[in-house]
Amino acid sequence: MADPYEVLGVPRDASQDDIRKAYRRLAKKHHPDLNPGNQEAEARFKDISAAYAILGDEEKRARFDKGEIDETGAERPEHQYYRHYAEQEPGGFKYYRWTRPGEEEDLGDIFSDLFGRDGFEGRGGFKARGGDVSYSLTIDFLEAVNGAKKTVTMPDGKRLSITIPAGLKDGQTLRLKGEGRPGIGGGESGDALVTINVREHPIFRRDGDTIRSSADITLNEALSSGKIRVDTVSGAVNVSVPQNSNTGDTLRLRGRGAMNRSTGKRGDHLIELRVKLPKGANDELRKLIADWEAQHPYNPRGEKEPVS
Amino acid sequence: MISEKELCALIDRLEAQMLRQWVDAGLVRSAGAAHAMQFEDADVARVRLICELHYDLAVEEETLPLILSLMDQIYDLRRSSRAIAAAIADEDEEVKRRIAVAAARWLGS
Repeated sequence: MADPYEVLGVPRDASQDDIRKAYRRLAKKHHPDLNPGNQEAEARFKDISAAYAILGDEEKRARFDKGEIDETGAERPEHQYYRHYAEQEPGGFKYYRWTRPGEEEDLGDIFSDLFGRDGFEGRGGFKARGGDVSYSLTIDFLEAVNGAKKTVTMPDGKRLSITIPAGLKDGQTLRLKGEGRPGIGGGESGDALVTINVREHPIFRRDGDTIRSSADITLNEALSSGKIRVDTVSGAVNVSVPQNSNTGDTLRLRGRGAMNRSTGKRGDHLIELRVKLPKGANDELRKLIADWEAQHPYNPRGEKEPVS
Repeated sequence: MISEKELCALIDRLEAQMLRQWVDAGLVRSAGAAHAMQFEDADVARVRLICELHYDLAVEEETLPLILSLMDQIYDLRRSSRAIAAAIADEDEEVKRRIAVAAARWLGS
């Protein structure tokens, strides 16, 4: 037996209150009935109890401090812990599947709890469904929009082919039936749950089934109607830019967006126009515009007087 | 089997009123009529446990049923797993090996 102060982890001048608190803290951790199957807990708890039996009693503590009794001086008589009865075997135990009065007595078979509702099937032993396994897979933006076939290697070395349906969204999970852990005793296999992460695209952004991108146009393209070539998720197309288009105007390409998985229809592609001045605009252009504006003054910020 | 009086004498801090409260709450099951309760060794150990939980570990009266219920469930599970282990121990080596492999696979290890 060790020194009772050391067992409780308190200094020799600890107050009775500190000793009681230390005992409670340790007893909660090591009580054998709260640690079934842990033999060490019982030995530790006995030491803690013996130490507290001395230090918890001011009179005994004083005698111990004076050396009148040793650290085993006041050990309590042995008794059987509850777990000795609770775990005795074989045969029944009265608090086994214990229910309080008024509660329905559950006489169900524990094995059906452990192995599922079907319990044992036939004479061949039990069946159990295999566990599900989770993976995540990162795919490209266009693979999510247009659909794709991917092959992934699972942690156990199995190669799995995954069909990405067109229109899949970032963060969605695909359930691959039967590709999880194998079942036991002929039970069905679990499923593989694959969470799909979608990479961003340098040009396209997605907003539900709507695809958005922007197109830069020249001053001339903005002023005169004409066709420009833009990329969509299903290839480049020619688009008409109406006369007098401005930065911020959007063109709608119907049915050129992402597949809506519930309606089966494709959304639209919205193109935001951005009028671009030529790089390093020269004096000629500056003079041309200045002359024109002198003849045709206009105020794009409205007709209101500026706020002073 | 011992009587209520003997039980209270055995566990010095146990009061008859407290014991009756626990019996009424169903935390302890006595045999015999209400005025002549009888307790088995297992009941004595359970009462001792409840006393330790309540007086030493400061588990409150309202919390006792919850803790006892959880403990009962753990003991129930441990008994069941031991029963299964005992049943498996009687099987052939080949069966034992197959069960060990299947269980390890099930647990994902």
